[in-house]
Amino acid sequence: MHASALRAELVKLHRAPIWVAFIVVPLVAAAIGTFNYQNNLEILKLGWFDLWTQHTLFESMFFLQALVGASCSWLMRLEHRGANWNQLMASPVSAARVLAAKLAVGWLMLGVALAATGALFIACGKLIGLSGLPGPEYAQWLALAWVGGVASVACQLFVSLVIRNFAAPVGVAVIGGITGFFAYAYDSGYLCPYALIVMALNSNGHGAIGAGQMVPFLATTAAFTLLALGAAVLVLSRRDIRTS
Amino acid sequence: MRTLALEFAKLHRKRVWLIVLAMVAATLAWVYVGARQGGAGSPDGWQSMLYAAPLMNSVFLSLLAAVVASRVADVDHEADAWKELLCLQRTAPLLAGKLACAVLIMACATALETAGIIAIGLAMDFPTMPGTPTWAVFFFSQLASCLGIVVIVGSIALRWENQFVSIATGLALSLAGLFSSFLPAVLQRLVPSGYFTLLSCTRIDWVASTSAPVFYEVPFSWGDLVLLAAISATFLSWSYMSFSRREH
Amino acid sequence: MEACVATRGLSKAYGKSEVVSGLNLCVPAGSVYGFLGPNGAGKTTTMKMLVGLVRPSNGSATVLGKQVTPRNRVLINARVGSLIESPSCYPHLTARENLEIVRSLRGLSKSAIDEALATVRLERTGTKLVRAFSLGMKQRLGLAAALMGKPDLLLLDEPTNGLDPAGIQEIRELIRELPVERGCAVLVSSHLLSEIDQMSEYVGIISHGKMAWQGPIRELHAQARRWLALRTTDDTRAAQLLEAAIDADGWVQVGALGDDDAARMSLMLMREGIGIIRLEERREELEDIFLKLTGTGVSL
Repeated sequence: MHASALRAELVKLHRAPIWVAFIVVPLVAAAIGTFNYQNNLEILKLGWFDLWTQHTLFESMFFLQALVGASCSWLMRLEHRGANWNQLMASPVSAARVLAAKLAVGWLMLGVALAATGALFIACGKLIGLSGLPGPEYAQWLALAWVGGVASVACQLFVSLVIRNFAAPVGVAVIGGITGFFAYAYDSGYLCPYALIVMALNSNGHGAIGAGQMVPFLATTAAFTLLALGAAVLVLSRRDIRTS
Repeated sequence: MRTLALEFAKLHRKRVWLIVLAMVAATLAWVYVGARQGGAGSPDGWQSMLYAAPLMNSVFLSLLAAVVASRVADVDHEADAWKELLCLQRTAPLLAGKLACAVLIMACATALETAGIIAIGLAMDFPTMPGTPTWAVFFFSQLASCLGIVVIVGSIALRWENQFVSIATGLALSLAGLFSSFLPAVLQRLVPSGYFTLLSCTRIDWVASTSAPVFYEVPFSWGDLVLLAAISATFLSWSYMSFSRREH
Repeated sequence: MEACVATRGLSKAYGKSEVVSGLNLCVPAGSVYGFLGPNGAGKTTTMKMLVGLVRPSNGSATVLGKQVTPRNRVLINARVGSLIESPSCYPHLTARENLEIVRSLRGLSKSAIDEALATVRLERTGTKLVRAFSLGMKQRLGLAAALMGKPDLLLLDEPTNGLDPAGIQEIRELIRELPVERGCAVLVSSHLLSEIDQMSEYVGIISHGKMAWQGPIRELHAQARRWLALRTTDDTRAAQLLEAAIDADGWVQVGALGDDDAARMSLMLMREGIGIIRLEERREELEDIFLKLTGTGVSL
């Protein structure tokens, strides 16, 4: 049998119902967003699109980032406890593979949250009687957000690797999300890894990522991801392992 | 007093103050962006800030309060120290020390924010600065709201060692706080993070015809403060009972 | 002699304080090597350097024929099992699930888990979470994780920590059998000399980061000082005549003597009119040698 760091990470998810948060946070966002939409029907006249911005604006720049931060903290806290780094790093798996496995799991969690966001969007829309179904572009935005979000996950894994407590990296994620929002608002979203989710979701109606922007978007995502992952690999493989 | 000092000693090198600074800075940045829209010397500049800050606080300070509460409770989870602590201290002073520690940190954060708002207002040349009572009410209303969050999230952080639970709760509260001011007041009172705006004395009235906001003052809502105190007390006693009943 | 662990001038400094300095460790293949030293002597840090968890600030280590480098770490660790500091475990999982993680990381077959659980007698813990395990059970789980995949070398850091007397005996037996049954070399650390004496053929004694003594444990036994202790009808004169010292309990201590010399001594005392009441051969305890070598007056 082939050695697999990813399988090991998936076993660690047993009996840890943290995915609940990945449904509850979008659920709260959807509930409040829908309520807000209903109360402002006189200004919001675009139907599905207005409902979309109500659902995702704050979720994308703030809560999704914090949720990514919390899950990365959780993934790293598993190892920060006791002497767990000893076992992990004394096994025949390279630092890069350990971190890549954690990245994959964190990314999967983000996928759950985005899928929940999409499903809740349609459900709430039908519930309040919007006609028809939203266009396929929404699915494309969610998919793009998932792709771009990998940069947030990588950055947060690095932060949680270096800062060994649970809550502080979540604060970093929130501030990152806000910085990303501002960076996007001032047309420099590509300078901030946390801006990619905001851009992809088109949650403030600035305009979706068109075919022409696809290449810079994907290139930036790849660059930030590799940079953060590389930094984390360097820290994990070159620094002495500390146990708490 | 000694238990309070102990709690601060435990937080030594835990980078709590860094997070406080960063979060307050983020809040102030947001307030500043709002203030700039009115332009320098804007006649209702002070009011607009006093209105906007509690809105921001319901998002940022409630998250910060959650982070601080989780941190203060988690130190002893991390150190696996409950057994030893409870041999040396009784439950009540131990929890009181933790509560006091978190509240003191939040008091610093709120004071820092108040000072920052005053600094922004002065820098923007807003006319007729409000007097000390206004600032005192602002400070205490925001701090009281923080206290509610600290108690609720702290209870959860104590109860479940996995801090993902408490932080996710903090996030949900923060998210709810953001939208709570759009809810009807009855519903808003059910959201613990809604008290930042409920207790604030500066309100806004949109005049539809001109789309210019009009700010006005309301008297301090003692009723809501009592309600918040009742919610906090409920959580506090639940936390105390479940903590002292648990075997460590 | 083939060595499966050999270090040359291995050192580790944190800031200005050197916790391991110039260590030349040599663990012969297929043996149990006891790594002995008081708390804080540098045993754990040395073991961490052998699996690449900590990078030496000077010197080098060769494990199973390969030099320990960040590049070689993965290759070496595929053949090394380790339990360093406290056992690693995820408290929200069961024993089986914890070993499932080790199995995935090492790419082993399903049966490896059952084997390891049976070896440490944890097969009946079922759905009990590790959170609810006693210290001893956690230690067994850590041992099981280290044993998984039949490694060629085992590094065990104070493996009997937290075990009850029966458990300690069981684990000692297990360690003693490993070289015979699996051809596996074991480097086991302890601060108890008696424990090392019971299970290992070789011993390395480390003190303040330096190797104080290393070699087969029987040579350590041979090093033990021997002497004769006697009581006579006139101890003071006897001591004068034999140029010997009197110890705190009033025994006259004479350096080790051959049979002839001992006979001559008794005849000489008799000629002087001094009767021998008691005559005993004494030898230094291993503990005393250990204390002398590590230069610690304190008891361990």
